[in-house]
Amino acid sequence: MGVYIFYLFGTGLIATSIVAILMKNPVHSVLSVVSSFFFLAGIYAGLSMQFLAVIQILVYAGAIMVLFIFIIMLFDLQKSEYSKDRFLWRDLVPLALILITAAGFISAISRSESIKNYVANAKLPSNFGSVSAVSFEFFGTSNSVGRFSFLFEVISILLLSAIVGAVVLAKRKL
Amino acid sequence: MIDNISTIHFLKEMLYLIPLLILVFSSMIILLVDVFAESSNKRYLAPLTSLFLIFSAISIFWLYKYIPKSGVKILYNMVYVDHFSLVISAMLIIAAIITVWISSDYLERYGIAIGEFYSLLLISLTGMILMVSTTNLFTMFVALELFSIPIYVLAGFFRVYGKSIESSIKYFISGSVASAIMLYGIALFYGVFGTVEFSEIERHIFNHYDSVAQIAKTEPLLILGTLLIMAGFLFKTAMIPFHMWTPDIYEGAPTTVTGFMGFAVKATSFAAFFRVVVSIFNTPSLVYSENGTISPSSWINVIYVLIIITLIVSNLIAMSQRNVKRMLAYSSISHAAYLMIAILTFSLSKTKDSYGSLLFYLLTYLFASIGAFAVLSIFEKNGSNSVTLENLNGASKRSPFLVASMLIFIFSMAGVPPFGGFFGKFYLLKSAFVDGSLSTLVLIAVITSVIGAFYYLRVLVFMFMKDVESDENIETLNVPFLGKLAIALSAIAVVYLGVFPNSLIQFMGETISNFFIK
Amino acid sequence: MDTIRGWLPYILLFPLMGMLINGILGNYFSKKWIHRIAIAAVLIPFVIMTTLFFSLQSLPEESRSVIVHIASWIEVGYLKISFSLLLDQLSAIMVMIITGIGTLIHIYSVGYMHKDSSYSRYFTYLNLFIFAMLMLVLGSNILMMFIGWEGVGLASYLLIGFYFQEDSKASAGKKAFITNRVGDFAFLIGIFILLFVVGSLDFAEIREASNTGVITGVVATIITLMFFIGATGKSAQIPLYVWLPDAMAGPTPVSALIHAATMVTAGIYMISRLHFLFILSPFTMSIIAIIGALTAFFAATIALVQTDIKKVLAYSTVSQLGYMFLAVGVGAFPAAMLHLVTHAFFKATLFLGAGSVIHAMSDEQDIMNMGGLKDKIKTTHKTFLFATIAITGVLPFSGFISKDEILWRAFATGNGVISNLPILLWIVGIITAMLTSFYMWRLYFLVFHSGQTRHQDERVIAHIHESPLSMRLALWILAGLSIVGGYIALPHFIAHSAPIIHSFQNWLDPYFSTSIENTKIVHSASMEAIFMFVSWGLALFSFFWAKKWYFKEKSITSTMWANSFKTVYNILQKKYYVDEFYYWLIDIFIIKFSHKILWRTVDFVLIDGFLIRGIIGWGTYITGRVLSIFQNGNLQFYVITMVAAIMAIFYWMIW
Repeated sequence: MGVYIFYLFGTGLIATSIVAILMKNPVHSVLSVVSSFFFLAGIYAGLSMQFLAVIQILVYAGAIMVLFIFIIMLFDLQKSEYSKDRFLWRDLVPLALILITAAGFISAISRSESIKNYVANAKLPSNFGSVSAVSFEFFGTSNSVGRFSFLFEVISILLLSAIVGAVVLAKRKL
Repeated sequence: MIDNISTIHFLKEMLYLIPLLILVFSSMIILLVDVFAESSNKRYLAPLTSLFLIFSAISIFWLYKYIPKSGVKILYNMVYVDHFSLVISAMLIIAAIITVWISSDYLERYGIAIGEFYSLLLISLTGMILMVSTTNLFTMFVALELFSIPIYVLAGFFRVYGKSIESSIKYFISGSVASAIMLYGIALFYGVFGTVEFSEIERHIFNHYDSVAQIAKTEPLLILGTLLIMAGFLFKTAMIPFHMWTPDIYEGAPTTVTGFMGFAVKATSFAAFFRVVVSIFNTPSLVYSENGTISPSSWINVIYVLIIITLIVSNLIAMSQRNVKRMLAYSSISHAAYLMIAILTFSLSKTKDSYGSLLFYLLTYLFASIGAFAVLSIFEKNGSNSVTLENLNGASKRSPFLVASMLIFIFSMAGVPPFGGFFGKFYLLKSAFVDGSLSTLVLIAVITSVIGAFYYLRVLVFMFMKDVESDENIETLNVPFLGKLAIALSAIAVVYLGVFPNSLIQFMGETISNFFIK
Repeated sequence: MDTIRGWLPYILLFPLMGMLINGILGNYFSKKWIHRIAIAAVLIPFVIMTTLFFSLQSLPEESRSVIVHIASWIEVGYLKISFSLLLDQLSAIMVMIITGIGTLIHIYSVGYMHKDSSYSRYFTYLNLFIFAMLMLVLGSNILMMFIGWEGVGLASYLLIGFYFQEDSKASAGKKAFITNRVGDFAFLIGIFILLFVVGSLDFAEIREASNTGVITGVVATIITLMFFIGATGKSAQIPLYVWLPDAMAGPTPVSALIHAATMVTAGIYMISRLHFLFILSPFTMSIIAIIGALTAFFAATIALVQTDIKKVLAYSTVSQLGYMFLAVGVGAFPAAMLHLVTHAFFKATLFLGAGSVIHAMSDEQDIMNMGGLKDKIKTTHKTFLFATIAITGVLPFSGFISKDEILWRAFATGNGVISNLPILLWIVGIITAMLTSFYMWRLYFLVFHSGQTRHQDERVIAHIHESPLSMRLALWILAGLSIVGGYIALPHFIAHSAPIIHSFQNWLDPYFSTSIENTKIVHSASMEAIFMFVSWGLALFSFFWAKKWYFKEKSITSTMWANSFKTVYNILQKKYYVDEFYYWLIDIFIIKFSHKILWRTVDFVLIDGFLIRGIIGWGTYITGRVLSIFQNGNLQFYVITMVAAIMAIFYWMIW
């Protein structure tokens, strides 16, 4: 069952990602990225990581993509500005590169023995991916500290610096 | 799996992070002070920042005495503090202090003397120090982002100049791609081993694989992961062909920021890469083939070839640059190749000498590089944010002090004997030469450093021998006090390192921790 | 022992601090504070050294050599050079002289330079000099000595060209520097050979190597000849003495300190320090003795006719240095050191006195314009008189004792290379002593006696005044020392009856122990007394001759003599045309050859044209062009390159 879900959502994820690259209209691109996020969330859910799936949809599909669309609307692009790009022969270079990369990765993954072992013997804890398990990792219990609480705080500083940076770069008058 | 640690214990362990905590809190304090201070008082921000930095440096000295040679692993093995990380941290803080002193007046000239600059610098420094004091790939990645994002912003700090914004965007996008590539590598490692802890990965590789050929056959993901992580570092250290962002970004960024990232980003990435190499990459089965020789397809050979390419290409391109900042960008690329030689030497020979020579080289490069950019930041024409060779015409008449200092920095970078850079290069190449297998590399390094001398000395030609056409351009430059102090101290340091290299290189050799000798 | 170890580094530290403080912050201080700092920076080391001297004396004789290791400096392969200081009998004497006379001259300079606008620069240079000179004498290996050697050269250059606004003075500085460069080059080569042979530059190890026969005769000859060439540069001997007379362009206290008392004796010190190396080569020793004697003689003859007060003293210095080299060359190292000490006293007095005269005469230096100053500047007159008596070698004064010692040893020491050499050296030495007496009394009488002051400008004559207290103080102390300074070493025939008085020799003998075994005294000590009276008599003869000619108004006889020996007079006046000869050499070989061949042909055509413009220029242009195709500023392209590189490496690594 899980395998079919994976293949289903995986195909959708790849397809929407390719569409996002190929679309000339940015709004279309963004919309297909949004749908790729949904597919990704589906894969998470299929791996019984419900919490991550929900966060994926809430944060990425909900918040971040809305921002993208807002920005595109603010740019107010005319059709002529983006549609004049046509397919050029030099675009073949990245295309070929993508194919080579994909071939390399696929061959590497297919030959990997540890992945085969995982697929054969994977044993997950019973509460894997649940909210309580994730929160335990991050925040610990009432008298102990979670494994990732330090990194969690570090990331908060990272976000702070990103905010400060955004203000510095975008504010009209300093 | 480690047991859960209690909150009290966690806080105790945070004591080892005092330098970091000081930096984080001071960055917040500076943000707040900036909000509430009157604009006339903002020139005190730089001294305030450097005060905090000095506190942090003092705490590092204190920790250095306190920490055993084996280092301490804390916070669920997320952080590892040892003598190596403290020495690199001290260098980074010195770099930050010099940068702050120079930036104070520089920002004022451009009319954007605001606290955010210092705050971002401090956060970036926090990330750098965290990056060198960890043996955990997750922490390493978060730290990488923590120091990169403020640097992206700092590169675009001159928002009104197209070049500055361009460099910021370019750095951001290419940096993000590099981070993504590295993250992919980390994910592959996690996928293969189920852990991100250096020592566990190392043990796993050691137990399960014999030779490079075997890994390539049964577990290519491991090689892919190695390569992708390496690529992330190669990008940050700007080895050719991962260097292409460097000239554009060095040119466009505010000059003092360029000086800071020219040293700090490089030093941090090298230190972290050094750890990864020593701990993970150096596992025999990742280096040797079945018959005990170095496998032709091991990462060592990759680095070897990249060093040769980098040495030759960077020096050749640097010769044709007219913009001094771009030239120094290529020069920094060639210095990266030297540091890579030191890493290779250590991973082959594991001697204290090669370890010490790496740190000593970093130290000489610190003062020479930041000093040179500091001088340029004063010479650059207001409003252009770039310095061409022609801008330096007749510089010796405009400010003898700056030109004399620049002479010291340039000589040091070119490797002229009485200055630190010479002994940096000398000890580095000597330990590489002693390990016989790298003698070709040493030969190429020596030849290319001769080419390097050409473009370094050309800067001096323009400073000393060419005059400005019209007399009205000759105005004496006013060097602000803090800037003068920073440049003078850097110059003294370069000379000191050149005159008394021995005690320092021995000290550097002694800072080797159990992490490296095992 | 521990006192010495603890305090010795401070001797170097104080002048360094003084230099740094005055050099960096001097412009913010008042003159009073500048000279206070500068004087303290020399006086404190002198006080330290005095106490250290006594603690060194309290040590047993064989352990009077203290090495203070400060830091290891260069360690590359077998080359290990440490930054360490060596205090023993020899360097103790030198440090006493340098800091002692240095202090006095700093004090003197306060008065002499009080009107100068570059006050802080002057004292910075002086402290720099003291620092470098102390490094030279205290270094425990040749490299440290060489750094000091170059450091004093730099300080000397800076101070000779102190009034660099005047072209002639600036070029005098350059002349000194470049001439010294020739010597230093040879010195360096000597160091390299020594390093190659011995594998160490430490004095102790070189001594060990020369005692155990690691250094053979021929190698020792080459090394010591190279070192001696270096010494001829710094200590102004033939053929490199030409810079010293020109060095008088510097302020007079500088001439007293650097170009009479201390720096120019560095060559003597170096040879004495390395005597164990030099005595391995009798050939070099003979060369040194011959050069020394010739220099002493020729410089004295030139001094006979000079009319510039400082030039006379400069040639006199060259001549006296010649005596020291003569002593060194016959293996009488303690005698050379003794003459170094006494010469430092009386020549410093003479220069300071000359400075005082110049000061009084409103910067007039020509002795033909002076005269009759005896009653106008009494202190200067008296001290100058004492120093003159000392240098001419009249018994109770210091110069006699040391000069007599040298002449006696020159005569008494047999020479293995040239058998008649001792007697020749003695004759040249004794004639030089006579000439010395003559030109010094001539100088003295022309300046202080010979009727009325002959200066053209009435205002100058009216303005003649005694110097300020700080200058007089230094003069008196130094004059006192030039009287009694010689008593640290009495002549042999007196010392035989009371050996304790011969303390200078006793103090130094342990250090020179090797040399004493190697040089044999062939004549009995009783002859010394006879020789003493011969030289005394000759000095007196010169005195009366000079008095006859110059005591009154300029007598007709001297002019007559000058006219009848016009050729000789002119040659002497023109200093044997050595400067002209050197200029001609340089003009032919360096300027013409460099200009025509090296610059026009090699540089312009070959290097600039072919190599730079051709290969490098076009090569760079083309490679730059090719490579900048990749550096096109296109971000997508950068990323693609990166990914392509990764994939290329990946396929390489996997297969």
